[in-house]
Amino acid sequence: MKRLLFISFLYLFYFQNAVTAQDQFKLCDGVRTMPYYHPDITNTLNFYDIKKHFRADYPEAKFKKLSSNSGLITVQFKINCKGEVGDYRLQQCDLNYRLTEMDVAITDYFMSKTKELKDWNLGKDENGLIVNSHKFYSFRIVNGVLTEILPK
Amino acid sequence: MRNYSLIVALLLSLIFGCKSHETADDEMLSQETKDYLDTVLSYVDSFPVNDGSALANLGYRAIYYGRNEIGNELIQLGISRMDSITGDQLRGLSVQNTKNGNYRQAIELLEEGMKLDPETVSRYYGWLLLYYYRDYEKALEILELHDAYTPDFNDAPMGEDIHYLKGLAHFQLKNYEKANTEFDTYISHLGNTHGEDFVDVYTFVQKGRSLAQLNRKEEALAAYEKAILYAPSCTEAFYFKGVLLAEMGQIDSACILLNTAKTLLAKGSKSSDNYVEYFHEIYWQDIDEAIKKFCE
Repeated sequence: MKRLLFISFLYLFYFQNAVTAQDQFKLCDGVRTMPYYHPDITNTLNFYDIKKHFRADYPEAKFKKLSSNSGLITVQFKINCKGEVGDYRLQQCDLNYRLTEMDVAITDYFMSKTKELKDWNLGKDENGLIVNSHKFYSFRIVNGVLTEILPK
Repeated sequence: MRNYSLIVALLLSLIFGCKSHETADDEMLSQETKDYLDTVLSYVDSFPVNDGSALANLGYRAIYYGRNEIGNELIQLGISRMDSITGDQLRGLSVQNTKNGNYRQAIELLEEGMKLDPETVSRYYGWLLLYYYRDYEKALEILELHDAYTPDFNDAPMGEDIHYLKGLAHFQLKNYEKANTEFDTYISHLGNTHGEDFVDVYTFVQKGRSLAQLNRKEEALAAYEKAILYAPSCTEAFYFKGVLLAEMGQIDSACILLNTAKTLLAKGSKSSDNYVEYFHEIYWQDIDEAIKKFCE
């Protein structure tokens, strides 16, 4: 019983902190929040590896069996000047670019895989200050098959 | 430095400045957007909130700085307050939405723009659908539509030859014959008017890839050689030619080319874009994998 309580305490402590960390994400004051291409921000993984990262565990056979399994999923996020990542947001549309809701198993997959990407090389503005950045990845899915990963 | 962003946005918006108003308590806006606008007004109380263009432009800048929801609400409010709007203005307002991955909002603006001025908007729309949306069927549809406006003229939407763009779309759809035909149309047209060395060198690379898919290997090799002739540091041409030679069993020659590609890439010779990945783009991992497969 003591052991169970201890594990429960650890569990609560860990997830409380995880939630707090997400809630505590804050953009740096004193610098602008710039798009990923100006100044250019990169991950320590290049796009070859990032595509591999998203495709490696993609359960295609499972997602092909789901009903709402076509459309574009976009995960937007921000990176502050300290390299912390947060403010994740999900956007979805169907293949005709109308609002849709795809199966939550698919959206959860891309959200969690995007959250695994850390280690961003930050960009500096014209004054040499490291800026906050906003970035996104989009996934084109046709009948459960991941056909494209965008933008770079 | 959110305030700095606001000031920049304000200055740009004031270029459109006409009438001024004190509040914008419109029901279209969320509380977050109202707060944003109130902050704007607290800095410049003469901000012309009834000027649709100024509001839409403020929204555009908000999206540029990552405030997608606020920005789109302001754009919609701005449009609703304009007396009239052109297709090209709607196209312009869509741009940052595409660059932020707000595809639904961007396409909505573009489709409205197409209704008003298809000839102008299609010049951008087809190119955009190809590169930024990877929507090859629809890209072809719009590129064909745009091409039909000037049947005897080789259009160059966004600076790229329309036949090259159509060739890329066909290539991605695995229509390799059609891709090759489009690449040839571009090459022969520009070759006749300006000389073949004016052709975008990646056309030869993509032509080579199409021909390789059609099993016309000697012609594919010739296309890669053209690319190397006109751009001796074209890493991609060395790579794709190396892979094809290896598949043809000419391993020694292939490995020389693959190692050349590796050296060129290490020196920074790589075709890439700030916004999206190119269709012919290769990475050091591609070259290393080919060397490992064929040369070790």
